[in-house]
Amino acid sequence: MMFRKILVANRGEIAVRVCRTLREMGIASVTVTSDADRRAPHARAGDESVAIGPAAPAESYLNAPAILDAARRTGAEAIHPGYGFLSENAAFAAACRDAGIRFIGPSPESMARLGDKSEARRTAARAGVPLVPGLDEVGSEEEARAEAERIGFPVMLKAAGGGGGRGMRLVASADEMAAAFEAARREARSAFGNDRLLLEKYVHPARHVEIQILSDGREAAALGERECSLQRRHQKLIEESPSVAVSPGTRAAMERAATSLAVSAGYSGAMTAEFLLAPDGAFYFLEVNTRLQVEHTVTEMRSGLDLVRAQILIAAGRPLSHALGVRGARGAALHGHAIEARLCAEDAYHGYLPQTGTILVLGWHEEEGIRIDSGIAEGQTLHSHYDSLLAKVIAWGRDREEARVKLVRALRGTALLGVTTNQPFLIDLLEDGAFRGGETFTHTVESRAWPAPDSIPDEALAALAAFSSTPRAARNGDEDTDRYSPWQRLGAWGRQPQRVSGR
Amino acid sequence: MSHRLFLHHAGTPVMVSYERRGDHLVLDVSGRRYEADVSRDGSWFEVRAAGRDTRCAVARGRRGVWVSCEGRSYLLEEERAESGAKGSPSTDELRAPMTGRVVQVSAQAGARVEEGDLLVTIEAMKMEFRLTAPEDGAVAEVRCAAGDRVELGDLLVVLDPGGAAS
Repeated sequence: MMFRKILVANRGEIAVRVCRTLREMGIASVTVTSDADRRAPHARAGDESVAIGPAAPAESYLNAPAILDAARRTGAEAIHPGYGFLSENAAFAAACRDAGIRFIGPSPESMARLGDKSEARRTAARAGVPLVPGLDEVGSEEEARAEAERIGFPVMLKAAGGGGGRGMRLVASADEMAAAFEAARREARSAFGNDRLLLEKYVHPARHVEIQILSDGREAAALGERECSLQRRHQKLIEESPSVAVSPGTRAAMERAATSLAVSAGYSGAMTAEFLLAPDGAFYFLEVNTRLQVEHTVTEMRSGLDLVRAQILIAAGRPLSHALGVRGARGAALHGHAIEARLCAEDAYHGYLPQTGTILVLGWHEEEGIRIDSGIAEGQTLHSHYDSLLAKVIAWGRDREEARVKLVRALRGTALLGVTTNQPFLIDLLEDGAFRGGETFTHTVESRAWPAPDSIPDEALAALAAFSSTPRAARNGDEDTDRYSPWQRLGAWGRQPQRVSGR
Repeated sequence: MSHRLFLHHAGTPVMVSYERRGDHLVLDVSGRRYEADVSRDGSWFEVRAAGRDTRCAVARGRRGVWVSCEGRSYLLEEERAESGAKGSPSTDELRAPMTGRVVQVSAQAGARVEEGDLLVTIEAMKMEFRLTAPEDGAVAEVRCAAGDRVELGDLLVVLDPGGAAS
C-alpha cells in the first residue's frame, strides 16, 4: 500500500520541502494555509491548498479539527506534520488514527513515552541511558529550589511537553528561581498547552550532540550524529555533522543509547535523541524529538538519504531496510562533512529581536554542494505570528573546512532585502576562530559580544549611487522584479532553479 | 560635483557626493575619494573597483533603500538633494537630509542662485550640513528660518530651476 495523497500540516520551508519529496514520489500533496499565508510559497508548493483559519497559530496550524477536516475534504490518506505545531502532539496523532488518517510519525503511545520529557527520562533510565541529574517533574517553585540546592546551581527549568527552546530557563541562583519558574510555566502553557516543568543540572561547558534514528517499530538504525552547539536563546543557529568532539567510541555509545530508546518504545519513523556532551567525553540524555528535525538536512547531505521519503515509507508499513534503500538495515554510509545555517528574520546584533517586513529582493547563491531549503519569496510579507526561520542554507564538503568555506561563500552570495536577518551574524559565526577551531559550546554565542559592523562599505554606496542616479521609470527593482522561485534549489542534487514570472 | 546623497544608517548621517559618466562613478564619501565601474542588471549591481568585483543588490522599500553586499544588508534612509538629473521631479525641492536645527538661511526668496551656492545650514549630532543649490536657477520660496527645528524630509527651500531672479 502506498499513499496517493498526503496533507502537509505545516508552513514555511518545511512544508515546501515535504511537498518536494511528495512530488518526487508521485504522491499528490495538499498544503494548508492561514489567512496571513495565502500568498506564502507553501500555499503554492503542493497540488492543492486549503485555508484553515486566521493568522494566529492556535486558530490555524494548531487547529486540529480544521486540519482533519481539510484532510477529509481533499481525500488525503495521511498527514505529514513537519516539525513544531502539531508534530509532537500525541492527542493529534490519536485524532488522526480515530479519523482513519495515517499520521506520519510514531504512534500516540510511543510519542507519549518519548516525546514527553519526564516520561522520556524514565524510559531512558530503564534503558540504561545516562541522565543529567535532576527531577522529572517539579510541581512548585519550592520543590524546584530544594532540588536545585541538592544538585547545585546553575540548573535548567524546561517544559515537560515541549521543545525548540521555549519554556526553558537557566537559573543561576536561588533568588532567580521564583521569576524563572513562573516564566517557564507561562511559556510552556502558551506554547504547548501543558505547563508541567522538569529540572536539570546545567552541564558546562557542554556541546549539544544528537543522534538521528530511523525505526520501523521493530528495528532501528542510527545515522550518525549532528552537533548543534551554536545556539541563542536555546534555539539552534548552526548545525553540523560529524562533530569534531565525538570520538568513534563515543559515537558508538550514543548510537547504542539512541537505538535502544527507539526500540524500547516500539518507535516507528524518524526520531532524534539529544545529548549533552561534557568536556570529559561523558554524555547525558537530554530529550527525544519524535519528529523530523529542522537540521535533518545535515544528515541527508552526508547520507544521500531523503528522510521525509523514509518517514513516508515507514508510515506506509515498509520495513526499515526498504526505507534505507539498498544500503541495508544497519544504517547508511556517511560521507564528508555538512553544515547548516539557519537564516532567521531577527536582528542578531540587537538582542535577536524578531523582524518583520516585506521581502523586496531575494537571490540565492548556487553552487555544487549547496542546498537551500527556503519558505520565502520576493514580495512576501513576514508576520510576527510565526517562527523567524526563513530558510536553511546547507553546505557539503569533503572535509569540515571545505564545507565551512562553501557555506560562507553561499551566505555572502545571498541577498535578502526588505527585512533585517541574521545573515551577517551567521557569517561572523562561521568565520570566527571558535568555530574554525571546533571550539563550539552551547554558551559560545551568548557569552560573547558580537558587535555590529559600524560602517557601510564603499561598494554598497557605489551601488546605491548607481541606483539613485537611474531615472525612476527605468528601475525595475522597486515593484516589479521577476519573481524567482527560490526554494528547493538543491545544487548538490543537480536540480535547476525554477523561474516563475509575475506574482 | 553634481549629485549628493544624504543618508542615515542606524541613526548616523552618511553623506555621499558622486559624479557619474556612463558606468563610471566617482564618489566622495566624507572627503574620501572612491572610484568604481558599476553595471546593473535589475536589482543587481556589479561594482568593480581596484580590480575587485562585488555584487550588490539595491531596492527601495517603505523604510528606505536597502543595499546588500557580501551577505550584509544596510537600510539607508535616503534624502535626495541632487542636480543634473534631467527630468527628476525632486530637483526643485530642497529637503532636510536629517532631523536637526536650522543654523543659518542664506537663500533669499526671488534671488538668483548658481549651482553650489549655499542655501541653508543645518546642524545635527554636532555636525553641520551645508545644503547648496543643485543647479542654476532662482529661489522660489524659503520655508524655514534660522533656529527652526526640522524633521527629516521637511521642505526647506523651493527652487525654480533655470528661472531668472524676480
